[in-house]
Amino acid sequence: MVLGWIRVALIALLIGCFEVAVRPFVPWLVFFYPLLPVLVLTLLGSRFSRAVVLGTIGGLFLDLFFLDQLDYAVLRFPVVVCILAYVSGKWLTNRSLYTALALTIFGRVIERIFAWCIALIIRGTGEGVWHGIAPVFSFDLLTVTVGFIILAVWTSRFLTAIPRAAIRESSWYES
Amino acid sequence: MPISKTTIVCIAIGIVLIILSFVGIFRPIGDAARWLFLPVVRTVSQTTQEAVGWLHGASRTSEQDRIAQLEERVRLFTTDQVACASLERENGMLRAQAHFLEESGYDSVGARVISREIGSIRARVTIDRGARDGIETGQAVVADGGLYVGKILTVRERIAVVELFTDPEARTAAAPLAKPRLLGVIEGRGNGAALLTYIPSSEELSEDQIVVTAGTEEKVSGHLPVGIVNVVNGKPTDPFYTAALEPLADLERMPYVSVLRPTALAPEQP
Repeated sequence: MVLGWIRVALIALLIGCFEVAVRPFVPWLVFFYPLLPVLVLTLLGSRFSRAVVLGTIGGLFLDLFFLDQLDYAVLRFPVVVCILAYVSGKWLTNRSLYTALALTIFGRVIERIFAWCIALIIRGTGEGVWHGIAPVFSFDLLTVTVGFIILAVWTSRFLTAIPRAAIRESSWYES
Repeated sequence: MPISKTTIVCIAIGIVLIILSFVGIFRPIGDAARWLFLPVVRTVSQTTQEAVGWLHGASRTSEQDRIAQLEERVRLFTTDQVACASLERENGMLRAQAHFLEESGYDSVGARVISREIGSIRARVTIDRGARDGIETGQAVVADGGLYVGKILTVRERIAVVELFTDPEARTAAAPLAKPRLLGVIEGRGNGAALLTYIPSSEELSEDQIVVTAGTEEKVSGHLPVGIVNVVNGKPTDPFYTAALEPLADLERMPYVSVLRPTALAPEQP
């Protein structure tokens, strides 16, 4: 169990390090922000608490090294996870690829709205918050798709469980 | 829909945390965390920049290599030209001024760029030097052997943010190379572009003229090369002209910079 939490923390630190020290220097990855897609996959494939911890640690790492942005990623991402968990439990009850994609899009919009509000309060203008949102969405959806497929192939987290009684009673089975 | 008690408590805790962070309560924790992770971030960013630079070099044609060599030569000649012009002026002035310059000189501290945010709305880089190295907000930052790139915007214990002069919020007082007086203000336009504004119509400004820092700002010394004039805009009846400025330093590939700090702020040598 402890190993699971350590794994979550390491993943969050790796993603934070990637967004700080790798993404800004590679021209074709400038719009690739993997923290939110990984949060969605963790929320669907693991537990809510682990997604919150991953969001908190990842957001903290971003706030440590992006001094001038002042958008409180350490609070923003856990709040986004809570909202996504509520939406997932209330309306999107199945764990499918489409659910993951929908949650990712909704999560990115919510996250940008939060950043826009914080920018308005602190800087007086929200200019630039929505800059490059189309390539960001593209990268998010691609990441979630690839991550979902990998998780589905290598783990049994997204397999549908069918009761044995239902299988026996099925006319298809009998035939 | 009634809000649960847990939600209200969480919101209240979040607001309290935000207020405390504004006050600076968590700053020592942040500094300690940066001390812990800075070596990792520094190594990863250096490796990434070297890899991207190697890929860029491997994909370049011989003509592009030649162009890059010529551009580098232009930068070196520009730095030498500005240095020579500055020395000629110093020789022409009283010896007492040279003594004054020696007394209130600057030294430089090297820093590595560990992160950056360069685009249309922002042009800032993060360096691995901070307050413990004598860095203060407003200090000038140079690269490529003395070419001005920006000023220190935010400082923490071990890192600092540099606002490049091409940042839309950046403003830098500028002067022409030949005349040691204020010419105008350099305003960043994002995407590596800058505009020289408030140029008096009486001023003669031509293309390919070198623009340097005016030295009128408190912590920015003068005669630091900034850029070359590309296009001068304005009608003869306008009171002020504007001019598009091409940066001399390669702001896209800048793994190392130097921060010019007054010698009085240099940490004591052990």
